[in-house]
Amino acid sequence: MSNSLAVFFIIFGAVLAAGLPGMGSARGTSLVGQAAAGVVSEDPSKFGKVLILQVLPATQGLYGLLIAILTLSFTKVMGGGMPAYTWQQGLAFFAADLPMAVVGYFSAIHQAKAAAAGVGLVAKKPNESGKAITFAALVETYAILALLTSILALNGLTSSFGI
Amino acid sequence: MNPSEYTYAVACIRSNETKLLSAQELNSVINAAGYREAVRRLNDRGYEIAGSDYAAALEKRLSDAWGLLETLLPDRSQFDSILIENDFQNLKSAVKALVCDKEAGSLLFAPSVYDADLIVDAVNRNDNDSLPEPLRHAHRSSYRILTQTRFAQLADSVVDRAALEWSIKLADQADHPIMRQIAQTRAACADIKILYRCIKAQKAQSFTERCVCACDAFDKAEIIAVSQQGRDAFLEYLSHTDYADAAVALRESPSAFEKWCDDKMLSLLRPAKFDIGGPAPLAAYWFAVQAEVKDIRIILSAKHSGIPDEIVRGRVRELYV
Repeated sequence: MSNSLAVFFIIFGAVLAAGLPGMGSARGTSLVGQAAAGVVSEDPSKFGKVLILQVLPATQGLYGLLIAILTLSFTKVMGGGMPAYTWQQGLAFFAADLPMAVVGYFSAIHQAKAAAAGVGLVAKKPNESGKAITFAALVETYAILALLTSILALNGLTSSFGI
Repeated sequence: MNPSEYTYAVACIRSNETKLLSAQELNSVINAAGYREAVRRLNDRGYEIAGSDYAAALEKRLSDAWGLLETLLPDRSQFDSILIENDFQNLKSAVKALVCDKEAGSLLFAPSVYDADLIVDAVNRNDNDSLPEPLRHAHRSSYRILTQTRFAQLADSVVDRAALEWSIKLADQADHPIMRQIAQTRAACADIKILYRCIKAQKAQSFTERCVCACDAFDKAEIIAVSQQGRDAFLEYLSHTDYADAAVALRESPSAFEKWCDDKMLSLLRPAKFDIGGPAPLAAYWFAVQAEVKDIRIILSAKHSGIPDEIVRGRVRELYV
């Protein structure tokens, strides 16, 4: 029973880590995509510049997927040879996934808003596209910090549980 | 309302904002040596003005801008509070044309919420029930005033007031607060203008009461009572309200006040420059194009008449970009 609950927590954590940032990235790229389409409909030559901005909020989904894979791999839920876990250990792995899940979701949406504003900047001043990308890219910092936190927490747990 | 509905539209508008004249470009048109040079500079920026008839090109500029907005607006009804004024103008034109036995065709305004031909047709048949609901009461009143008293000024004022009241009503129904701010600002500016004219023409309080529209900026009874005490009392009253700058402009001249009203509207909409969604950037673009067209009309008409550039510079409206 304890092992089953632990596995539930581990898998639920991995699902959230992949799912929430993925949802945020989907919403974010959609928002920037609409703005980009608006600009390209008037000036197709700006496609390359606005595409970079659209890609920016997509990274959170990838980070989330990475954490999900690391969680399943570190805990050996994936690949076989999984040791018996207590439910507290399962919950600890779940907690390790939360930074990426929560921060990934919100940072993707907020980064998309910054990127959509950047699309407006590119529409009016194409030469300033570097600045538009920088403004949006700064939001990425917090997704990266969350990614690092989750990786370090997973590493720490794996070491301390002797897996 | 979901602001992301407007993301595509706003991005399109951002691209089109690059086609608006900048203050520097407008200055260069003002500085042009003569009408021809001014037209050449405007044509370089995409206008299609041929010879001395600039009105058609300016009309085209406005209709193109509205055509663009119409294709972009996810929900056209969000703009009803802005457009309804033209429906009331069309009602005025139709009633006057009927009373004077003329054709209303050339006097009709676009864009509007309702089909102008439908309004003209209903007015010609005196079929009040066929008119769109917002226009019915104003039609009944203005038609009665015109046919019974021939008091065209009162008939116009009654329609204008109804236009403002409906604009506020429709803006309250819109999802975005900017529409309410636009309607309230328009109503307040119109009230000031009407009251100032009434003071100048020494109109009776009963007339003034029928012309002024209730708005958030002023207490209607109070401002009418103050206006009855004369110009100085009225301007003094205004100087203690949010419209203190209007009093300064009115002290200068009525045309300075007209300019102030247009500038006030654009300053209200200027924060929309930074929005990524919502209808505000679209409304701002519409007002920006109208301000630009108004400026060009002032400049070209001044160049035609040989009015000095310095006078023109004092009259042109502020631009959005």
